[in-house]
Amino acid sequence: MISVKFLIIEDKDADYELLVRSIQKHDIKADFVRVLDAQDMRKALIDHNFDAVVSDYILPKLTGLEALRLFKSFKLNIPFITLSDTGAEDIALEMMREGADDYVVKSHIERLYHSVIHLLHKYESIRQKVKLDKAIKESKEQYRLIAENATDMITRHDLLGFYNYVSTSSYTLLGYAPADLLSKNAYDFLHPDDLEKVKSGLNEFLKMGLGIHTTSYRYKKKDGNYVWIESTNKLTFKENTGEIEGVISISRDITERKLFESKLEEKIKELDTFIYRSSHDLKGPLASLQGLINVSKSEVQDIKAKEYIGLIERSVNHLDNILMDLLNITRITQGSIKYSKLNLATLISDTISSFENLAEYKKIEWLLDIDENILLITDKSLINNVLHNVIINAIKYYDRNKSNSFVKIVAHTYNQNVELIIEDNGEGIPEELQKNIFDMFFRGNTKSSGTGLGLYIVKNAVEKLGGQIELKSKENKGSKFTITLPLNLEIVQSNELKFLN
Amino acid sequence: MKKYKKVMLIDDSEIDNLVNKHILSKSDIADEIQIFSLAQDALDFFTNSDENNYPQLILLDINMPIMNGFVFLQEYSKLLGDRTSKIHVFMLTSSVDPNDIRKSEDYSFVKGFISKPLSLEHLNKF
Repeated sequence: MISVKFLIIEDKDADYELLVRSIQKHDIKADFVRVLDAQDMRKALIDHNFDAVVSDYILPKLTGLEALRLFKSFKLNIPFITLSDTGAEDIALEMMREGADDYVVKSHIERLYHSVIHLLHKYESIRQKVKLDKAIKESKEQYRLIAENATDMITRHDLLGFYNYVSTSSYTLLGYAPADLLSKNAYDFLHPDDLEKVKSGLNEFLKMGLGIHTTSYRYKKKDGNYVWIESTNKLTFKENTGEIEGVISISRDITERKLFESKLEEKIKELDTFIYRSSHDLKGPLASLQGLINVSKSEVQDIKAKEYIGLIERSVNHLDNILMDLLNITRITQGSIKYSKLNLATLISDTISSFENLAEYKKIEWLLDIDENILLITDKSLINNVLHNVIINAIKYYDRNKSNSFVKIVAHTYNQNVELIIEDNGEGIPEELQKNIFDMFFRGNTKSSGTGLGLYIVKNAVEKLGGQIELKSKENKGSKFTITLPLNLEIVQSNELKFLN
Repeated sequence: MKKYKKVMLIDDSEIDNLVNKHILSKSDIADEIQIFSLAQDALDFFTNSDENNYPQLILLDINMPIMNGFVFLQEYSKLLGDRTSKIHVFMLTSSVDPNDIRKSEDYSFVKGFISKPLSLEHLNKF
């Protein structure tokens, strides 16, 4: 039940009674304060919180108009209704012009209730709207404060790139005042070399139509220098139609990061070159040593000397293995892929036969389940590297305590990929070492005489070829490498055809 | 294995020349082995000597001071012109750089690329 507190300005007792009764008839909790003159009216308006004011238009001590003016001076957001007699509507209309909300003819006093209810609703919705407007204004102000005080620059531009909002941080970031940029085109400030990349990136983003898009580019500052900027972009939409309207960007200076990145890249390149050059330069004297050893082996007769030469040879060969692995790594990281169409079964059987001279080879049963027809387009030297390193591990670490050592190689295709499984029942790799097994220079076996680079090379080569490698192993049970490589057969259609044999 | 009248070694490494000479003479591949440790000296030899004294096989190192193997190939090709067809050149080098292999393939008279150290098995290629 609603409760309404009335201020009634009415001198005639009978009229007042009628009025009160006409209201009380309804399901409403009504309170009434009755005043007769201006002084009481002022006091009542101060002392009480009224919901509505009803005033007769003519009173002995006060006219309706005076009452209205007094009421208006309080600036209350409540309705003022004037009463009038039949035939005095002109006065009532004048009161309306002065700002009364409604008039009710005394002979139809029952209309007062409906008028009050209607006006209370009207005032309530006005109050709501005022409150809402205030909240919106506050929130806008808050956003403006955030935008203006953030160190990142916040901008909004339309689909053609014309700015329609620029936050004041444009000054610290670019040297431009917001007014310098407003209604200018953002693309005009971009470095020519970055323009196409940014444009096509944004077009892709517009096509997708949602999410967040990050892009970096060089932007011409007011002083003419370029600064590296990274922008995070979000689309804005028209409220009524939902069409894309423009883009809001938050931009920051990433010059330092870019400088750091390029320095880092340079260093990595230097490091790669260093490994490459030094491995090459070491290879020369090493080859000389190998040649000398070969000559000595055939010339020297002394038994002791022959033994020492044999030991020197082992050391030299180990050094050679390390150098070849290092060279392989630089080739994998720096080199470009040279595609050719290869038969996987042939590659595998060639690799296996290259191990025929190893003593362990004869101890192992080879179980092959390879589709003879699998063709893939890949880099021959990289894939041979992978096969060589994985298979030689299976051979070297066969379990001497088992009588039925095997290496099982299975290959089949699925979804434009080939899955190659190389499984053995060898010594296996302890679980705690498995996470490091693909690391550079990691050697997972105390008996290992290797370089600690084999599986590092494998992983890098597989990834360079666009594939994946996974290890499952159990100590004393065996290891299983699963390698997935793309068949790349579609490459034949592209320009790379000329590189194929 | 073919038998040559003369084989020329161009290599700055004394040890490699010793090893290579040893293997070549042991294999009896040639009547004469001529060694240059400077590529320029080899070029001078071709400039100054009679065609009858030219070798039929050259083993050429790549990484040499002053004039490396590739510069030698360029100059040698210019100097001999059509006469290069009578002489087979093999690159004999410790380089395993695929780029070096590719570069040497530019010359039709370069017949192969051998990784050091030279061994008896290599000689069957000649």
